Amino acid sequence: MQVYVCAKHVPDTAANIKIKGENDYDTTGLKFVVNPYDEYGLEEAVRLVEKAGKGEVVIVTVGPAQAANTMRSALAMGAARGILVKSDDKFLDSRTAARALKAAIEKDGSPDMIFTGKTSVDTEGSQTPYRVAREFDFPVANEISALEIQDGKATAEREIGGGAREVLEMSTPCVIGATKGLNEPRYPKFPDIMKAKKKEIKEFELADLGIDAPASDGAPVKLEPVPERSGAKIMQGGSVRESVEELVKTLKDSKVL
Amino acid sequence: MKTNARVVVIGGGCIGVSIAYHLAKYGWTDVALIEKHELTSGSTWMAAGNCSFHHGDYYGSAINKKSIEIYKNLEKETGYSPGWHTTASIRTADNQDRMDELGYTYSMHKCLGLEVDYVTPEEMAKLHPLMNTEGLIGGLYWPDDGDVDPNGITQAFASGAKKLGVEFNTHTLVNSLTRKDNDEWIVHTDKGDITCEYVVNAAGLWSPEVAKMAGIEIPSIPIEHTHILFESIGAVSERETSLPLVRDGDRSIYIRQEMDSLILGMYERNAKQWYKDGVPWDYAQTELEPDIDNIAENIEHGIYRFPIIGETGFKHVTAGPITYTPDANPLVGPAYPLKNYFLACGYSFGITQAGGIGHYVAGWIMEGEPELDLWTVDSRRFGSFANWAYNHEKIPETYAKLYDKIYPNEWREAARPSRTSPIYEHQKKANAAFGDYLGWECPNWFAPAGTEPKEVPTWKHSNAFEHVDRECKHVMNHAGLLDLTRFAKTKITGPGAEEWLNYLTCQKIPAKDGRVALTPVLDDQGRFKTDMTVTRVRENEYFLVTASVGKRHDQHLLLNELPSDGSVEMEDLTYKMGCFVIVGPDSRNVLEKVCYGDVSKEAMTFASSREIYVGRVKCMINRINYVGELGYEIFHPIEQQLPLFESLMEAGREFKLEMTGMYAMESMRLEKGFLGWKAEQTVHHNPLETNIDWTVKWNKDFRGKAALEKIREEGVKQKLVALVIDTDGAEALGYNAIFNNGEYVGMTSAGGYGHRIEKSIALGYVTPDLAAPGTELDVNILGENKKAKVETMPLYDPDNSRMKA
Amino acid sequence: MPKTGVLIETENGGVKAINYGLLTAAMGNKENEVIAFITQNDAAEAKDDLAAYGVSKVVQLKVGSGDINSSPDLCARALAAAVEEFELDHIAGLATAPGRDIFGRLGAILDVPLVSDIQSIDYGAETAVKSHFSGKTMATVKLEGSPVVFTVRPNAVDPVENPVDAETAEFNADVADGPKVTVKEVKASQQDKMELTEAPVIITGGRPIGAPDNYKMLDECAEVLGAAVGASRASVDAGFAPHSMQVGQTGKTVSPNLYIACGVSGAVQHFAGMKTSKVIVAINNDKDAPIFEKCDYGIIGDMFEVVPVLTEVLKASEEK
Repeated sequence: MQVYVCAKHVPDTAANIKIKGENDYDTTGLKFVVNPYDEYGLEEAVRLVEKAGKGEVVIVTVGPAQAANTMRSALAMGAARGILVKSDDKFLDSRTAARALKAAIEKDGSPDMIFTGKTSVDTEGSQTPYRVAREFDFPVANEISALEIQDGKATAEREIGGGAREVLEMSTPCVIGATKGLNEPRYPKFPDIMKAKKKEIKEFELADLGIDAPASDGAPVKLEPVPERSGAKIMQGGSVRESVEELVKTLKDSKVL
Repeated sequence: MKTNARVVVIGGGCIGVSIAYHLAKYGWTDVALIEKHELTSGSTWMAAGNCSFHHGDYYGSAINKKSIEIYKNLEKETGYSPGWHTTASIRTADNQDRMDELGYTYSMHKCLGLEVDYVTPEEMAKLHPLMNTEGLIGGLYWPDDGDVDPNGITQAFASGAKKLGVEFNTHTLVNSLTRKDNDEWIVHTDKGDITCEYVVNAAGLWSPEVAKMAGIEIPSIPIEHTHILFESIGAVSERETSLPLVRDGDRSIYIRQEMDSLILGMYERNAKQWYKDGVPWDYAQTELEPDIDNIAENIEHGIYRFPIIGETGFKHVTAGPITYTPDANPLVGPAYPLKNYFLACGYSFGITQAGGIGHYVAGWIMEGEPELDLWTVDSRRFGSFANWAYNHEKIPETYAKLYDKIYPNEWREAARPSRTSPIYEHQKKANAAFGDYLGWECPNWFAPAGTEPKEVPTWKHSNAFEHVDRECKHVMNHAGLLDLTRFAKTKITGPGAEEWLNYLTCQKIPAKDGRVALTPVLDDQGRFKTDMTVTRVRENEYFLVTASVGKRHDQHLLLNELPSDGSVEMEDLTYKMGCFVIVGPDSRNVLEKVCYGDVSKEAMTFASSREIYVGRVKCMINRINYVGELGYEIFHPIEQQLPLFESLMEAGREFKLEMTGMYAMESMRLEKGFLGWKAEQTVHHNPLETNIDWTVKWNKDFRGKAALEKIREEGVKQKLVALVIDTDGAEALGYNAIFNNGEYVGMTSAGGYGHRIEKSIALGYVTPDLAAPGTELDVNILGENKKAKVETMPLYDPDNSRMKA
Repeated sequence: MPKTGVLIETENGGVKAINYGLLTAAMGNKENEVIAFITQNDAAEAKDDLAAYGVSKVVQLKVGSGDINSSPDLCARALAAAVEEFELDHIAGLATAPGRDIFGRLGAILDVPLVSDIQSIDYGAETAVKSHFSGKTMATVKLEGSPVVFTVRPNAVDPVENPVDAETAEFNADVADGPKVTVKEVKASQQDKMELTEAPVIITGGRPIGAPDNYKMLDECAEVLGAAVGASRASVDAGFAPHSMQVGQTGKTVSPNLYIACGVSGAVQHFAGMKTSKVIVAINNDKDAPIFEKCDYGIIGDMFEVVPVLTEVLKASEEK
C-alpha cells in the first residue's frame, strides 16, 4: 500500500498572528504545526498501511525549509518518509501547490491512495484535494468523516447539512480530503518522535520538478487583524425570561440560530 | 479608570492579583491593578500548577505553607474554587548526598511544623505504582502537598478583589512612571494617568522593563520551560486516589497527575534564554515552539523513572517563558534605592508562592515592615554586580541546576569573578579557595602549597575541614589577616547626625571621637532590622559598617530615614575603602612594627578608633573584630590596598601573619556567640532575646523602645542559646529543629565546628525555660537527632580577656 | 454587462433563503447580469422567487437523460459547460457543504483560481474579502481567472431585493465521460449524541454545574439547539463531567457556529480551545467574570435559572 499524505505547514490555531506591513505576517517565534485536518488524513493513511501489513505512508509538503521540522511530527505519527518541495511563498496559490504535489508524488512512486485535509487553517482555500485529483485524474471526495476501502473501491461519507450524510462511492486510487470525525489521530510517543528524526525527508525546489514559480505573488492584497472581542453585549432584560428572549431574538437576527 | 489610588499594581498574573486581593482584604481597597492584556496572559496561564511546601530555604517554605493555607480557604472566601488537589509529594534520592539534603530539608520543615517523613523505596513504589524505584535509596514524603489550577487561583483572587472594590484595568498598557517630589508616583498608561502612593511591579516577564521605568535594573530573565501532558493513561484514570507528585532531583524531572494522565516537567541542562534584550510588549498568551531535542535527555530520565510514559503519546507539549533570577528566588520588597516602589517578580515558582506572597507583601506595604522575614526573596540581596551580562551568564546555570543538590558549601562557577579585592592575585598565589559574597570573590579557606584549592561540596566535613582547623588555630596562636573589603561602609555627616543615629538605634551613639559601638537597628516592634558598628570619627561625622550582603538593604534603610531638611547626609564608601582585619595575639605586634603612631593597649583600648598610618597608608583602625581575639579592623583607601597589604605582610612575617578565610571566621564567631545578620538577627528576633540585650539603652528614646518595654515586662518568648552538640562528621546548620524529649522547642540559626574549642556547636533560639546552661536537648542534623547541651556563652574566651588584651 | 452565474440550492421544493444573500453578492452594485442555475426543481417554480433578487434568467441544468444529482462530478461538469455556453464572467455558489464540493470540483475542472467562503466582493476593485487564519484575520484577495469562481459564506451578505424581469431556460450539458464519484445514498440525520468537535452548536457547563446529573439541564437545551454538550476543565477536574467533554487547550479544540458558555469564567486555557467559534454567548452570575470581556453576547444570571428558560423559549420558537 503506497499512500501519500499532503500535509501543510501552518501556524498553530492557538497562536496570535502578527501582521507585518500591508499583507504579510511575522513568523518569528510563531509555532507551526501540521494542518490539523491533514492529520486526520495522515492517521487514516497510517491505519490503512497497518491494516494492509505492508506499504508505507509518505508525507508530501510544499513549504519553506522550516517545514521539515513540522514534517517530523507527521513522521512521528507513523509516516515512513517525507518529501518537501521548497517554497517560501506563504500564500502559494493552490494550483501551483497541487502541481508541485503531483510532480513530487509522481517522481516518488505510484499512489494507491492520496489523503489531504479538507482545508488549511491558514489560507482556508478548501480546494487542494480537488486540484490534486485533477492532476492525477483520480476520483476525489472531500470533507470525509468516514471511509472504507475494499477491493479497489472506496466508500466515503460526508455531512451535507442538517445532520444528513451523503455516502459516495469511487474506485481507488482516489484522493480523500479528511475532516474531523474520520478518526482520532494518535499522539506520538517519545520513541516515535526520536525515530522520526532519522527518517528521510527528500527536498526539492519547484524547478527540480519542472514547476514554474507562479507569475504573481499569491499574497492577499491586504491582511488585517480581526479585533478581539472587546466586551459582550449584555442582555438588558429585567427578568430571566426577557433576557433569554432578547438573546434568542438577537441570535436569530444575526442568523446564528 | 481611576486617576488616583493608594496602590497601583502593575501586572495581572497570579502574583499581582494576589497582592491586590490581600491589600483589599486587609483594608486597603483603594487599589488599581493594571494589566496590558488579560489576567494570566504572561506566564501564569501556562504554568503546571505544582504546589509544594518545599522551597530551597526555610522562609520560602514558610511562604509556600501560607499559600497552601490560603488556597484551601479561597473558595470559602471568594466563591471561586482554585481547584486545589491534595495529592502528597515525594522527593527521591539515589545517592547519599541527596539523602543528606533531604535530611536537612526534613529538619527545616520540622521547624515549620510540617508533616513530612522518610519513605523507603518500597514505600515509594506502593505510593506510586507507576514509579520504577530502581537505584533509589530513599526519599521524603509530604502528605499535604498538592497542585492547584493557576487560572483558578487568579480568578478567585480577582473575583474577591473586585468585590472588595479593587479596580481592574485590563488591556491597559503602562508606558512610563514619574516620581513626584512628594514620593508619590504617576503611572502613565495608554488609557490615562493614575497618581498613587505605592507602585507594585508584578509585571513578570516585563518586570525589568517596568523597573527601568523607575530607573533601576533587576536581575530577572525569561527562560523557556517545558512540560508535557500525556494522553489518557488507563492506570491513572482507574485510580480512586491521586498519585503523589514526584520530584526526582537527581534526574532533574518532576511528574504529577493531571486528570486521567500525567504531566512531566524538567530542568534541562541547556537553558534557552528568551528575548535577551527585553520581552516585546505585545507578547501574550502564546506558547513557544517546543524543542524536544533540547529536553530529550530529561524525557529519557522521566521514562526511566516512569516507564509507562515511554509508551504513551504526547498529548500536549507546553513550552513557555518563565522568569528566573541568579538564585532562582524571586525579587520581592522595596526596590533599592526607591521609595514606595515594591517588587514582586522574578518568580520561577509563582503558582506556589502567589497566595503567601500576596499576604506578606500586602502586609509589608501596609505596615511598613514584613510579618515574615523575607530576606531570602528580598530583591536587595543582589547588588550592582548583577548586571545584564552577569545575569545572562549566571542564570542559565541556575536553571540547569535547579534540581541539583543545594550544598551549604557549593560555590557555583558561572559569571565569576565579578568583583575582586585589589589583593586578589595575592590571594590566588596563597592558594585561596574562593567563595562569592554579593559578587565579591573572597577566600573561604587556603590550601597548602601543592593542594588544589577546590572544595568538594558535601553536607559533612569537606576536604576544607582540616585546613580551616589549621587557620583557626593559627589565629588563636599567632595572627591572621581577613579581607573584608566587601563590608558595606557608609559615611553619615551633618548637624543632625547624632540625634538621628541615636533614634535609629537602641544603643547609645558614641559621644566621644574615636569610639566604636555595636548598634542594632530595630523596627517599631523592636525586631532586628539590621546591625551596624558606628564609629564617631569626629563631631557630626560617623562611619557605619554593616554586613556586606546587606549593603543595599541597609543603605536603603538609611536613605529612607534621612530627614528632609538636609541636616543629615550620607555617602557610600563601600567601593572607596578597603578593609583588612588583623586578628590574633600577635596582631598588636604586627601593627607596632608597621605603623607610625601609638597602637599600644593604652592608646588603643577595645572599641576605640584611631587614624593611624600603617606604613605610608593613612587608615582608620577600629579595635573590634568578629572572631573574638585581640584584633583590629583596618579601613583604608582602596587604591592603596596593595602597598598596605605588602607592608602588613612584610611586618607580619616575623609574627607568622597569614591570610585567613571566611570559613575560619565563621567558626570563630560562632564560638564567641557573635550574632550574624539574617542568622541570629532576623525580623523574628529582638535584642532582649539575645546576648546583646546590653545594647538596649533604656534612658533614651529610640525606634522600637515602646515595644521592647512591653516585652521586657511580659518576658521574652524565646532565648538565644549556644549549644554544644554530640555529632560526628555532619555539623548543625541554620534551621535545624531542636527538640526536648520529642517536642519541638526551637531552631538553630547557625552551626558549625568550633575549631578553637574543638567542639561541634550551634546557635539557636529555644523557649526561655530551656535556655539555662546545662539543659539537654536534641538537635536534628540531616534528619537525625543528635544530643546537645546548652552552654554558657561565649564558648571561647568566656571573660573576653583575649579580645580585650 | 458582465454575466455572473449562480448555483442555487433548493430544499423541499423551494429556494432556500440563504441563496438570496448569494444573489445579492452576485449582482454587485447591479453591475452584473445574474443567471441562476438550478438542478433540483423546476426552474419555472423558482423563477419568481429568484427574480425578486435580481436574477434575469433561471436555467434548468441537465445532463441529458442522466440524473445530475447522482454525482457531484456530473453537476460540476455541467456547470463548467454552462460557463462556456453562457459566456459567464463569474460563477458563484454558496459555501455550504454541497456548494463547497461542487465548486471545488469546478475550479479544478476549469483549472482556474477559486476563492472560497468570501464575505464580501468588490467587482470594481476585483477583490473579495475572506477569513485567513481561522477568523483571526481578514484577507482581501484578488479575483483572477476566467471565469472568476467563488463561493459565498451563507448569511455573510445581507440580501437586498432587486426585482427584475426573468425568463426561464434549459441547458443540457454534454458530459460524455462517466462520473468518477457516485452518490450511493443519503442517510438521514442520526439521533445519537453529537460529537463535540463536529457540532455546529456547543453548550458548555462550567464548575458551578455542581454535579454530574445537572448536565441533564444542558442536554435538554442541546437537543433543541442541535448542539453537543461540553465541560470546562474545572468541571471535569471536580468530577462533574468526563474528560471527553473537556473543551480547552488540554482538552478538545472546537470551532462551532455558536458556543454557549454557562458558568464558565473564561480562562485563557479554556478560550484557546474555543475562541474561533463564530459567536460566543456567556451565561454567568458573576458580572466580573473575564468571559464577559471576550464574548459576543451575555446574560448575567444564574445558569440554573437561565438555561431551562432558554430551552423553553427555543422550543416555543421552533414550534412557531
